[in-house]
Amino acid sequence: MKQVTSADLAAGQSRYFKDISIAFAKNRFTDDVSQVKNANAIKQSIRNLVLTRRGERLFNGDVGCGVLNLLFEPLDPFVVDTIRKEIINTINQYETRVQLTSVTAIPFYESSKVNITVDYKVVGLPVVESVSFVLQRPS
Amino acid sequence: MQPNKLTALDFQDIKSSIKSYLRTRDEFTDYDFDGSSLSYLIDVLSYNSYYAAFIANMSMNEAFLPSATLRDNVVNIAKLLNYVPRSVTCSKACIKLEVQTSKTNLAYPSSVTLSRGPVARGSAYIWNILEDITVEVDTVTGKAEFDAVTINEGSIINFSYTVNTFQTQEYKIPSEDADIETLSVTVKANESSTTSDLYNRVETVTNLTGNTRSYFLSEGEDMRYQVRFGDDSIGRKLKDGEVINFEYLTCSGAEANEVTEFDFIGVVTDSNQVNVGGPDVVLITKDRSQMGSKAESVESIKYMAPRYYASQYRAVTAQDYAVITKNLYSNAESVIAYGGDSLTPPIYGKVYVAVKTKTGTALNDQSKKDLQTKLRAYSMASIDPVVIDPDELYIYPKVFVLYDTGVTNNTSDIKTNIQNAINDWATQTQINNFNSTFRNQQFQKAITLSDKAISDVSVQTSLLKYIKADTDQTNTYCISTGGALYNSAPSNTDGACVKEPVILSGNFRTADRPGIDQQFEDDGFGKLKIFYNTGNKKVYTNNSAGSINYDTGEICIGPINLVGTGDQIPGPTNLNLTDPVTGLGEVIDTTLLPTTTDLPVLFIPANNTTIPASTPGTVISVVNPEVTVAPIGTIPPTTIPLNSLTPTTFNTTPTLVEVNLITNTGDPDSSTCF
Repeated sequence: MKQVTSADLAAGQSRYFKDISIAFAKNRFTDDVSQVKNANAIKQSIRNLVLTRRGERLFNGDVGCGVLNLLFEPLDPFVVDTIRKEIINTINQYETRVQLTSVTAIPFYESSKVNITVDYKVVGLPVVESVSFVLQRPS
Repeated sequence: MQPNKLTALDFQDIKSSIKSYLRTRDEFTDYDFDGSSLSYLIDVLSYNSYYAAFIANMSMNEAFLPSATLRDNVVNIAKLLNYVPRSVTCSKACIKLEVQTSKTNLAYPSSVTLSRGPVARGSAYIWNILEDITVEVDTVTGKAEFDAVTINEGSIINFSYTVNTFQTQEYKIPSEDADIETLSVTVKANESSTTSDLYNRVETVTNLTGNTRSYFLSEGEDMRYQVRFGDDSIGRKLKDGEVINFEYLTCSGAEANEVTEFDFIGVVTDSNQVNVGGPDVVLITKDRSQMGSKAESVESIKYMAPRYYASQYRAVTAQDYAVITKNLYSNAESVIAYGGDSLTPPIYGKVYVAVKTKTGTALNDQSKKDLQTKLRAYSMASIDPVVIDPDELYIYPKVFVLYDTGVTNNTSDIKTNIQNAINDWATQTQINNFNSTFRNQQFQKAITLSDKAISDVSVQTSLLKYIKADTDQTNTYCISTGGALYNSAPSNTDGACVKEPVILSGNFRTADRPGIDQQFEDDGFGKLKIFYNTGNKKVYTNNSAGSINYDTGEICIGPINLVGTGDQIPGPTNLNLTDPVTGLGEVIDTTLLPTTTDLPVLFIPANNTTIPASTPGTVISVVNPEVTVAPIGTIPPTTIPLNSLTPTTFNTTPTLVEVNLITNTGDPDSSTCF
């Protein structure tokens, strides 16, 4: 039996996800702003949510995640665990398209960074997706 | 797609409108997810639209008087109506100074002068006179008396501008707490000039010529008043190099009211140029400080400006008199005016202006005369304005509340809630004012809703009026309640038909019985009876002391010669009693009696559900009620307070329910719109 991957999501599914690329890059063929679709749109959404501070969104102060503030705490296993829980709570609350499988937070104590890997399933599809990014204090 | 909800002003509404539009397009689909970039973009778009919509809405609102909220904008619109808002008014007090001069070359000086500037300190405020006052010295005793000196709280400020016609100049009074009533504008030819011209404030261009020394006043930004001069056509134009001097008081307004004690700090100089001070100057307070008030509120400007404009600086209708009086007399809380033709019997050619003051006290005769003189300048020929005191009718409710013990047992909480509810009710109904009506149903409803534990409310209502009597004069005093009085049913006691009294006065002393407190009540059949109480029975001293009309509520007591009421009674050393038991005797020295005295009279109205003001000049005032709280099951007392009237508790003017002012300071932070 063939393994289903994210490449199979492009066609034949019941619903498309289309979003603007947060980089606002130019699509060289259409001369319009680039789009991100489907699995990539969801990945971008997860990153957006995690990297948004609470209170940052206009008139919607609850949306966002507290990890950026936690990065200013002395990095120790307790803070890393809190970061992980924050991410889980945020995604569960605001990204209704996915079902979390796991969230891994690997700290780099020397450089005060945390490597985050989020594994999730898109609701309604038997596909496990993963998004990774590094959290570090904004300079 | 046509845009929908163009009137949406709320952020969320605008956002949903944009989403509705995106639903009709297929370029992007993720607008519904909070994490999508599109959602972030929609937020920014909505915020931008919201901001623009708010600015547009605010700008339009601020352009019209009824909807403007910021003081500067309200004032600017009022300026088009030639309305100058009242500034802070400095508190005034009246003092008397007794000065003992000393001899120079064996003779007393001919006069003494009290210099302008600070003259007294009282309650951490400085009190000033604005002009020098000179009085003559008694050549025999060397004493001089500055009688009835009006002192104003505040600091005297002098501020100058040099006119420069080569640039645009604005002459602003650089203090927001300046009392413009004390503003004096003088202009001198140049810096070194020693003489100056006094300029007068004018409000209209009538009678102004190119040479008239006059200025116009208007309120500018941040409550700083602006002075404008003429153009050589309407009022004299200022010339280059002239120096304008503003002199005015800055003060604390109403905060400095009610000061009664002052210490002299002024300068008194006699005609020999010798300073008199220290123990040689005795300061006596004649009238406590009063009439200080805050600057006119935004709400008041919005109310007054169009009405003042409608009266066109002349008093034609009765309403014109009321509006102009409020503008002329800042201590007026509310004013009502009515023609004498509406009275019974009619008095033609007079307009009655009843003034209710902010301090609650009645205007003295001098203030009334001043106000009448000022009003006459606006009135039509042959119409005589008469300033009168409002006719005060007090309502004394006694509240009995039954509460459900299953809900709470905390009676103090219930009482607090009731008190708050009564204050809210008073504010909403604006009771304690002209043209107000006491509606018992509303009053009871407010109390019922004040606490969920309250199950029943019962209110006993009695009315209170004061007879303002002159002491040591035989007069007949009449008061009217303006409505019918309760007519109690007769009972047959020992074969005599007796009715319960529905009116009872406070204690008073008469000239023939100055040794004993007496009261009067009605006999139920139209007559008043005077009695005194021995402790266990009433002894009637006059069974026909006056009359009472139960249908009209008119009560007349007299002829009677009162020498005191309540606690204001002649001292025992001033009495020559022939019979101490019955109080018969006489007052030895009648000059020691107060000139007037107030006698409270309580009575039971026929209708206690609705009590309206009987005449236009009547002020209905609700006395702070006595609240009794009892658990459910207790039998409430009768609503008609027969045999339980307590007028002696009103020997002093009662405390009224609080009626909070509905004000708006014009500060955007405190505005309810944002």
